[in-house]
Amino acid sequence: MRVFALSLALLLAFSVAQKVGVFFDGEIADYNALISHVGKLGNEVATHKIGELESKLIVDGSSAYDTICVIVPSESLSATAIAALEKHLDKHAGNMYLAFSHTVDMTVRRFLFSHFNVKAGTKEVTAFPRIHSGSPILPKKIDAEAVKYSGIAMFPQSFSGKFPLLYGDEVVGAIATQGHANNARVVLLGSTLPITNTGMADSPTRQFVAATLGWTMGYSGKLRIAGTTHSRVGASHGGYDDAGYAAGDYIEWGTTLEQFIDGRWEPFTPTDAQVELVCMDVWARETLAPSNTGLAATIRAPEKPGVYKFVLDYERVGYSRLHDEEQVQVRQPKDSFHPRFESQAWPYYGSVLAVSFMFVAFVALYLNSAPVSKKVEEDKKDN
Amino acid sequence: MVKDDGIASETSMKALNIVILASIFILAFGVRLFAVIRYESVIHEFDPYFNYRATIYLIENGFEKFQNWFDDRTWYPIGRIVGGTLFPGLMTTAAILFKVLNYFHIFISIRDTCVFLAPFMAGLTAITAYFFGKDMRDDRTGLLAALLMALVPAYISRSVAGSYDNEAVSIFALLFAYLLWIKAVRHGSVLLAALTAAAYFYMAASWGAYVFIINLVPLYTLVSVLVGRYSVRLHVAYTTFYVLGIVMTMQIPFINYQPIQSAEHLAAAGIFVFMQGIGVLRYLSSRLPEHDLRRVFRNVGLTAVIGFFAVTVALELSGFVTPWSGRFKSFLDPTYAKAHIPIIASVSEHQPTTWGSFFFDLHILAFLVPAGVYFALDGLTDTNLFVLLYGVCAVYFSGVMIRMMLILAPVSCLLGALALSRVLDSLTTAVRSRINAKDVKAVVGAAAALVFLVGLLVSFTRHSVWATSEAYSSPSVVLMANTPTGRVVFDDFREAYSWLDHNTAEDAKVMSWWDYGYQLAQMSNRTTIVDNNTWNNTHIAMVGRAFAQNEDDAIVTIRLLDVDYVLVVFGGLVGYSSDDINKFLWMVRIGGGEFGGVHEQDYFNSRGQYTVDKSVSKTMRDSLMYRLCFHRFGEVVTDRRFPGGFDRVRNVEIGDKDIKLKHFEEVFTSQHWMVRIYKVKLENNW
Repeated sequence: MRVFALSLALLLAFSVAQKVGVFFDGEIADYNALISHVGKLGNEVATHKIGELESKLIVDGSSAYDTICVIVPSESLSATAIAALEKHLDKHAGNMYLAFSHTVDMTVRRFLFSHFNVKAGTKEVTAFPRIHSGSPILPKKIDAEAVKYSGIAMFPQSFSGKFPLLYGDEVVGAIATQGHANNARVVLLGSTLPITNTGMADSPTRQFVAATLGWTMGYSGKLRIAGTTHSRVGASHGGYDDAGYAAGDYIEWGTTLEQFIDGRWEPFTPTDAQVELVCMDVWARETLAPSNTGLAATIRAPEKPGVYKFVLDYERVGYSRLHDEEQVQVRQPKDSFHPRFESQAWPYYGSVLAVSFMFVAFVALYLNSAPVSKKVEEDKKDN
Repeated sequence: MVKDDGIASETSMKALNIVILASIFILAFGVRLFAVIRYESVIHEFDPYFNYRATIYLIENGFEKFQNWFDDRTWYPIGRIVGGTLFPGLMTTAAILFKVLNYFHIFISIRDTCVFLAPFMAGLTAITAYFFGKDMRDDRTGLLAALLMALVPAYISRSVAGSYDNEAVSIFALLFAYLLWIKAVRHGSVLLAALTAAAYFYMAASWGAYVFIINLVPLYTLVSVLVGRYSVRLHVAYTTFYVLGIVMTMQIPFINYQPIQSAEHLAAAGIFVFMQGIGVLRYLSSRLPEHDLRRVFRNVGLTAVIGFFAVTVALELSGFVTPWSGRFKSFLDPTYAKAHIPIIASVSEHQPTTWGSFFFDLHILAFLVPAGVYFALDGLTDTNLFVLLYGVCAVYFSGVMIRMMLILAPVSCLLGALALSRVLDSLTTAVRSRINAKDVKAVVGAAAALVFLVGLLVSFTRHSVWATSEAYSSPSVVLMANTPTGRVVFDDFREAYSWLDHNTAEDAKVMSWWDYGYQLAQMSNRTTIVDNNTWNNTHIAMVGRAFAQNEDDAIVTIRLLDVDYVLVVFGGLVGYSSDDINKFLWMVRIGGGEFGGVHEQDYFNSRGQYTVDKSVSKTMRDSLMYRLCFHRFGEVVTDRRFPGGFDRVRNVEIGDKDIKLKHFEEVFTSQHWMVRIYKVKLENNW
């Protein structure tokens, strides 16, 4: 509990305030605990009836909120409301925390299916299923099976492509997805019970909601590239200039990755990050190893000159995607790359000089000793 | 007193010659300024834009960096090793001229130096022609040759102000090298032969047609020996020229080891060996009795010939000697390029020359050349023999490839000048002698013939000036059309390039057909995928295939190449026929030829016609090029007699007026729709 309180305090202190819109159906009083929780995180919270979704979410063509919390205990959402949600997600990369009841109609089901590849069940389930571990969304200390839950089960249609981050063996009660335009984050909750005042009063449920909502808003699972460097191994200046790298150079590429934890950026040093050198195809791929400044790898510049890109593409379940590209040129060796004179080749130089000298000497001697032939004289006369 | 008069007369003739030559120089320079006066000081066409860009780089960074220049802004992402893949002669000449002028406080911009270089060199070429003509016959022939050279349209076509291409300096280098060669042969001078090699080096540093020199000179040497004109002078001149020329040209990175490895240079090497053999035989002939000499000649000569061919074949088979290049093979077999290398065949200047072009570009010279050949044969000298061989070869090559008219131009002027000078001499002599004899009829006849000749020259001058003004002074990048309301200027290209320069990220990559690559790189300062250098057929084929494919297939290649913008040239609105739709089949051929999967016949309608109207084939209608060119074109009425979407180049109503683009977004269309630019949409993240 103290850890949770401390986390909240740190979040308040360091996180950037977001605009959060809560769109609800029913009575707002039922969700006071949730709204209070979001507000305590330092966010600007606005509440609207679900019917105002289309008018309040997209204002002047843009989404009015960074994150929306949509609570749909009743049956349906209108087509225009669905369109507003789509715009919020796809065009504006807004985050969404969507909780609905087991009585949702086909409009919502189709929305879930077409956007998240999730099929919603029809039978009501009352227990939260076991969740596969390894997700950065839920800290290990949270006992997911103790979460108060009364709603429907959802079935991911396939695990190809974007992976759902919360799922169980047979059914899932909540699904979190990421990877919408610009890494928008979405949590689908098949029950409204956990976010009601009743659910939030229960400790495991409150922790569950705090963790999933925090992830949706980007308080966890958030990575960034603090910086990248590259230089020729052993280069005194250490930098990269317009002349680029020469084919065959050894290049040290380094990066500093950071993770947003408890309201501040901490170093992040995964063991499975790789850097690639790409010129249409991948020419070199190296796994990054921990170094003084973060992560680093040594890459040999290909023999083929060209415009290459260092590409770091780190996409892991639950984390924001890291993608960085930097263009460099690998050029041919300069014409002065090889020494102009090799002292070992003295026999060659000696023979060339000797032959040249002898040629000139021979011509001089010949011209001064031999009589001018008749033919040469005739030629001159011809001319 | 008589002697003094003679000296005075000679001096005044020399002075007159100098004045006339200076006038010809000014004429050669002045007649090439139409484009500057009519438009502005602007670089023309396509290739000159690269040359201009390279010159700026050379002046700003120095020769060493220029030599090692790796250009990462062209041929993305493979780049181009510029220093090792260009002829630096033109840029170096312009850079030296720029530095010298500025050193003497004659402040001129780099652009103006480049724009006015070709007319300046044309003046020098005319002066060289003077000395050549003088060598062929006399001063008067030289002056006529210079005059013709200054005005011949075939040469003007590539040397107007702004035509900053290799040919601008190469024709001067070519003629100068030949002039020195002739002098070297006449005098048997090592120094002149070395200077010939230096001029050859300059030519080799400027243009790929230097191969013409290294084949014509050996041919001349061989023919001289065969017709019994072997001399020590010839031996000395050729041996010196060959050895120094080969060593010098190998210093040019782009040429590298070609002088000893490529088939184009093999004939010269063979003649070098041949000349040494002849030299040895002549030496032996003065030392051995005749029957021994015959035996030696038979045994040694036969062995040498067989040995030479055996070595040649062995070198060819082992791969040490590279085979003839595609362009060279095209000369020997004009159908070769179309069958095997579409990228060479696709260039308009590589097409065979029509008869009309010969008359248009040479005018009276087309008729004077045969007369010149006759007069050259009449008094055969070393110089005339050389000019004859040059003429025969140049006529053949110019028939194969229109670009080679440029090589034909100087020799036409020389032969034409010879013919004119002989006829004028005969006529003036006839007039003088008949006046003394008081033979009125003969005087009138000769005078009439003289007037006719002068009339021909006036007609030649009128034609040349007209051709320069109307045909050869359009910079291509700015177009002009005459309408009932006056002249209309189409400045769409520069408008579009400027838009790219001001509205896109500095590292944006722009894909277009290769024709516009050089202009894009220079005027937009943006990275291009392919350009007019056409050094990598595969890369061009990738672009060609992308334009030929449907959007979904094309976008794969476009994303692979990191393309941000796609630029197409479309002439349907104003009737500009050199647009991408008319070039499109070359893209299909080149793309399909390299990768397959794209077939030319799929782009024809059911009647086998290449069309964009309602009968257009599905493949053509779905192709990226069709969609980008005709996007929203259905909304535009170009001709009141027809509904919207009437293409004024193909003269048809387009087949698809409702084109919705999936992966592209129109961001710019120039005033007359000639250039259209599309942004590649970002990839969906899910």
